[in-house]
Amino acid sequence: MNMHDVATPLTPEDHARAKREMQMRGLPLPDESADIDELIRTAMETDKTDDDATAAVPTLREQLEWHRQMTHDAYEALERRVAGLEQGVRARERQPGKGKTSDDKRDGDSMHGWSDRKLVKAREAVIGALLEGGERFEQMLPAHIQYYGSYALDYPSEDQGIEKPDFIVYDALPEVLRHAFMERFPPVASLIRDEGSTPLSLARFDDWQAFARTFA
Amino acid sequence: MQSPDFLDVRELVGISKRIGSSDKDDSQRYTRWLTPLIQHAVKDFGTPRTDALDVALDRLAQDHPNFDTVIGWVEAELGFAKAAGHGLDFQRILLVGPAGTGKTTFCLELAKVLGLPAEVVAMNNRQTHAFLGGSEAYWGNTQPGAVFKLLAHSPVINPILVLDEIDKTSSYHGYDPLASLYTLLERRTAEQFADASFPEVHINAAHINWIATANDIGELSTPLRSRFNVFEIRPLHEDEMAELVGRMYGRLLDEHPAVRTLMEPVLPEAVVGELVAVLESGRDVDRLLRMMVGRALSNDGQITSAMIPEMKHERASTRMGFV
Repeated sequence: MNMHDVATPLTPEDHARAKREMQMRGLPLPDESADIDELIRTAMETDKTDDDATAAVPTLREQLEWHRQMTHDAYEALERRVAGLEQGVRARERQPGKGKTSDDKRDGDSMHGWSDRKLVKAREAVIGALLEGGERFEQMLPAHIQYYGSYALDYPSEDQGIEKPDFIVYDALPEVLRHAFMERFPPVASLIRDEGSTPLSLARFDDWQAFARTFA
Repeated sequence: MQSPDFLDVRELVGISKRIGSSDKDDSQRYTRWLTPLIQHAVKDFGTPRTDALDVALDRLAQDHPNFDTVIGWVEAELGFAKAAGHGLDFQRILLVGPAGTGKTTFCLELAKVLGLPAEVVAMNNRQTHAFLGGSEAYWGNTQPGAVFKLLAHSPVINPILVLDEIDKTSSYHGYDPLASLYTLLERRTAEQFADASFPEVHINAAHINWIATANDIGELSTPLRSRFNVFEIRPLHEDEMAELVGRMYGRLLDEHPAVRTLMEPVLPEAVVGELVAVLESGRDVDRLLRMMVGRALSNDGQITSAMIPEMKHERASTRMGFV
């Protein structure tokens, strides 16, 4: 669903429409440069014993009504906007790989697109995780992939036992680590990238964790 | 051909935590040196023998006729390596001869022909073995040695390490600057080489091709000498030098057709004779000829013997150490 269809904040067009309506109804237009503070100040300074107060009350009442309407419209528009955003977040959470932790997001953002250039950076980050070892090595975030963007997953055979599309990108591992990992856990899927780029080989993340634990 | 094992990745997983150092410099040192080591950890052999390589070696032999036995040796080793399914492997060559016979130049040209990465380590006045095997890790400014550095960046497992003037080292307070070589020149121990700067990391240095040069090996220890195949390098004979000068002149023109049209196709005999008289070795022939041709182009392409001393004077004044 396009969120712009359900939640549109107030725009200059909204102000223009309200202005036209007040003119059609013959109502005096408030000075657009005056804000609510100005309206309050005017009301406070008008002496109720003054003869002019008789004429001022209806004008102030209309201006107050206009501001109430504008505030109400803005409130409703904001409410619709927030509801639309909440709806979008819930929809994304229902899709695999879109509910990321902050760490996932950090690495996912840096790897957005899985271009060849990004792969080089990922390999450097993987080496950092390798040298540090421990949890950082087991999580292997720079090579971990749950979000595929516009790319497509390809399962080369039917019986891969893929229950959730949660993978490690083989190509993001330095060759020496890739060889050792691949000896035990062969690729189970491919990530089909843009035309002209070779597909990336993927291993189950569960397999990676089993492999990484043998280094503990 | 299966890639030979170079390192065990298990040794590297979590190494920065295992060393337990809180020193930031130490951590940076590990990242700086172990990153390229891991990036190039899967290495193949460089230089399988091919017809093109044979042609290039023949040409190298023509340019360096006093190294013909060395080239013959390398060709035989390449033939063996091809049959065994790998590249030139673990050569230990010691070139011994007087100064000016072109030993170092030959080493570099051989590496270029073979297409192998090469590193020249000047051995003169080395007092400890740290330059080769690294300095001990407890020093604050510890650095890996030439073997580790070369292999960390080499895409092949059999690069060339040239130990220039191996007879010029000097011991200092009992340190033997050649101590690392005893380990590195034995295949079994070289397979598990550990640089002193990274003692926890073992790498396979048993495929490095070693070429050492020396003027005199009388002072080298017998165990060290016995680890090398020694080749005596003689100075070029006059006729070899004359042939070399003529051939290199022709090659210079062949490589630059635009220049060839402006120059005499053959170097005058008198000029060749003068050049042979002043040249001590073949290593600077190419550069000298290039300078002479440059001058001759302002003289309607005529090279004369008179240009030679003029050239010598110019080079001497620029302190390039020619002749």
